[in-house]
Amino acid sequence: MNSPFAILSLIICIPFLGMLFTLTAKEDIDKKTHNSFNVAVFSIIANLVMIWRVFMLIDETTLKLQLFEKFDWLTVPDINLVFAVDNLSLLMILAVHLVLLMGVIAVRDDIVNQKPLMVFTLLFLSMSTGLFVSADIFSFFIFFEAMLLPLFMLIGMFGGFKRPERLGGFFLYNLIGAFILFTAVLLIYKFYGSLTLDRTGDILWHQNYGWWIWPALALGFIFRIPIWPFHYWISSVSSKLRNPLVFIASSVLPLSGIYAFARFWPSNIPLEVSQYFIWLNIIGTITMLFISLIAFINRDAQYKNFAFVTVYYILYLLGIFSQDKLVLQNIGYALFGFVMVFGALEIVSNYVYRQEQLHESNSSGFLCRAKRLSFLYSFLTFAAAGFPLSAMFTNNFLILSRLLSTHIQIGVFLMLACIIAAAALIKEMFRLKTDNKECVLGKAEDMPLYQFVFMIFIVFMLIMSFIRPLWFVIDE
Amino acid sequence: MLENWFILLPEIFLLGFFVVGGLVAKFRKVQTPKTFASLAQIFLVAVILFSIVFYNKSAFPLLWANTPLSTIFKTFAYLMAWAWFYLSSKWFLNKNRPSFKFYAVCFALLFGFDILASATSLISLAVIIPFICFFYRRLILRHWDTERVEPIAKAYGFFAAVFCLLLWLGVYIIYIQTGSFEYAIIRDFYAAEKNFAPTSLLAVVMIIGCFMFLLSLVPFHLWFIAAISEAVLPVCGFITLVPPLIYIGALINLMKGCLVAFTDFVAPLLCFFAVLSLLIGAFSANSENNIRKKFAFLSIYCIGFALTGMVHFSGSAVIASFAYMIIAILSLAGVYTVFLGLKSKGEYISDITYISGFYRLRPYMSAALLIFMFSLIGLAPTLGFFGYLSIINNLVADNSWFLMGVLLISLLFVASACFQVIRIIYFEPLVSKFDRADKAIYICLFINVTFILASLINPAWLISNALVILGGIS
Repeated sequence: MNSPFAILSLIICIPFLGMLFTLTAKEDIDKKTHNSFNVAVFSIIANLVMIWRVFMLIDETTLKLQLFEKFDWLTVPDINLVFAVDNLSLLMILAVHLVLLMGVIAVRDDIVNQKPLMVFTLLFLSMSTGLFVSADIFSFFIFFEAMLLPLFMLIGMFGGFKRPERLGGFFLYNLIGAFILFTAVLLIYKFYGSLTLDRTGDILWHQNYGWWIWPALALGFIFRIPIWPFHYWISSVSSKLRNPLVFIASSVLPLSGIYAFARFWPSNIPLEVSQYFIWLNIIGTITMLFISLIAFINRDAQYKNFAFVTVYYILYLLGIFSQDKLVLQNIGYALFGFVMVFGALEIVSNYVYRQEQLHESNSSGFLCRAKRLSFLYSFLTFAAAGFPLSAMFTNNFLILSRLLSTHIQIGVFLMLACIIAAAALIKEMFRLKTDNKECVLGKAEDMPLYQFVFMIFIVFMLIMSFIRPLWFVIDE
Repeated sequence: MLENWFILLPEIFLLGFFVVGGLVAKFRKVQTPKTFASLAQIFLVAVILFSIVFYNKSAFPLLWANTPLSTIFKTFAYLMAWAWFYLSSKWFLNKNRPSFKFYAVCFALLFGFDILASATSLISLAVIIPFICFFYRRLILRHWDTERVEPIAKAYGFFAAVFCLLLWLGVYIIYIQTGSFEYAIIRDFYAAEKNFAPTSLLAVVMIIGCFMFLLSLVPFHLWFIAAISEAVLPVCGFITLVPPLIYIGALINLMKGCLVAFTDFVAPLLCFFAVLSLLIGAFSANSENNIRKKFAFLSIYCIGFALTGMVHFSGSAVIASFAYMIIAILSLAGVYTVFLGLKSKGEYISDITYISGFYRLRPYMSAALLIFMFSLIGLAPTLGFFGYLSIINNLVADNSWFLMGVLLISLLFVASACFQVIRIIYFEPLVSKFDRADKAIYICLFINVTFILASLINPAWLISNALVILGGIS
């Protein structure tokens, strides 16, 4: 089915146009005009409406790409940009929009340098939307790489790094991954032309450098996922970010790798290759265990959040490698719930951290006095821990049961890693709920109403996603 | 007869600037740098228009002949020169320095470039290259503090003389063997040869060596770096933005029209020096704290990259390199425009540490610089990606895996060099106060960025006609 009008291009363009408007917005720090903030929020909400409309245009029962849009881009070499969506990509777009909207609202009162923050956030949103609607190898690669530019600027300018020269390593690391992917894309183009993503199964393993193309693709994607030995650069940056919006944006980066695997990985992997998957499972499990154990010991709440994000990303990666159709069909719902949960959890925990910094006080027991925050924190921690409160629950259950049925030992360790990561979060929640006289934070420091209302909407979305994942879609 | 005079109108206008400019300099009472900039721009517009009108007409076809290929290279070079003349006037205004001699020398060089790009005879090369070198030296010397640039001009003059002698020797050897200076006759003569005499190969090396010197490929690059670090900003911009396009155009013309039989011999030679240039350019850019030197190394890297992509001089390779060069020059033009805005207490800044936190005071200029640098790195979705894609895709199609690997590795070093600048501008605290930038700089940056963004949406729009013309040479 082709797009009735260029609606997919539109959902890439709206945040981009929002970015251009934000660039021209006048900021008056003294009067707290929030011009750039308002433009950013308006752009994201406008795009959410468009995304809602796209959900109604597609047939959500099929896994095939729909609403194709094709643009002639280059003649030498002959490259067209193709856009299309399915359930998975739309859920990812929706999740990224909602989670970044949460982040934008969380930094509303960060007046200094708000304009560049909003500019790069909208650019990041536009590029990540482009990634999820890409339906051919070239447009996929362009947006895969394009995400780096605004993210790098966000991390460098707002990440709060005391030694920004270290970021060079992070930038180059991601660039190496992009170049490896670029090589694979050019090889695919040489032998198969500008392939659409639903035809990646045509790339043969035994012909036309297939043995180079597939590992290069896998390596290019895995550079984005914090799995050993690729975890260092991501963890060294993400775990230190103190701006919630930047943390969320940086945590969307591994999502692009996971999505790429879900999109590219063929079902017809030869036995010679699939026999090595066990090693990937082992490496993934060890990484999960180590990171979750460190999170359990570490007192830094931000590291606990980072560990939670990492552990679950690796779990989903292993789920994709399990080649189970049911898992692949439902991975979108799981990722949707997961992204929303980690984003919301980051917002509330960062809110606590900021109050702690602002009042130079210990935050132990803060939740006893801040009711709004307490409710949100508890709900989100339990949702993250795997309680049946969001779409994560059912789908994590599916993935874990599948992995348990394949390799019981690995499955057990995976479950253990998830439990430790959850325990780390619950431990932090109990610290905040255990009353402490040293804590001067009280009712006055509770979450502002506007932010609380929005977070309640997110909670509502999570609960509804558990009951019926696509509850908001009205069939035409 | 009259027709020939019409065809020579571009050259007449190029020389006409000396007469009119000289008269204005002598008789006009009120003279500002803007006067000569406007005059130069008017003459250059006429040159561009007449070059396009007579794109395939020639007054002296045995010496130089306009072809679509030569016209396209010349037109882009003239356009760059036009934009840079406009921007240079701001520098002269700020420094309150006379500008006539600068524009006059540039016009002399443009005249030389006009002939060089269209040359159809080795005698034209033998005459025009020394002419260009002579005025190049004059251009480097355009500094109020002559002592600073004199050693560089001397060194340049010495090496230019050596390479011109080699060029003459090479041309002479070929003349002895073929009995002619004409490209077409020489091409046919060597096409019939199965084995080349060592003297023929030596002659080719001498001629190509001269081009390597002109292109400032490593190891013939030291004069270029020294000139960029010491010469005045208008000179730096001109020698970075205008000549490379012409030299590459002339080299393609020479290889396709005259020395085509030697392609297999020249390719590895050129490839070696091109790879050396891109590697040295990329590595050295990382260690430089002088921002001008940093970008001088990056421009050497760009030339190396373009040559690496076209060493076999096939149609598709030439197209790819041309696309890359245009994009690289556009990005470098943007960078040099920003340099004109990097001014503190009336002095133009060249030390990288002084631009720390620049974005806090000049956000739009910093944003433009960011786009140009990401374009130089070739990061999608900037236009630079299109240039890299063209060249690397061509190498993949030719199974040139080694070259592709070298290009990608060098690209990482370039990214690292650009990261240093980005980090200092965006992530470091503000240390200096900057003077207010001229509106013209913002206008030029806006046009350049718009051009880059518009071309990104539809790159074919940028060079589709150029590609059709270049496609004809395969």
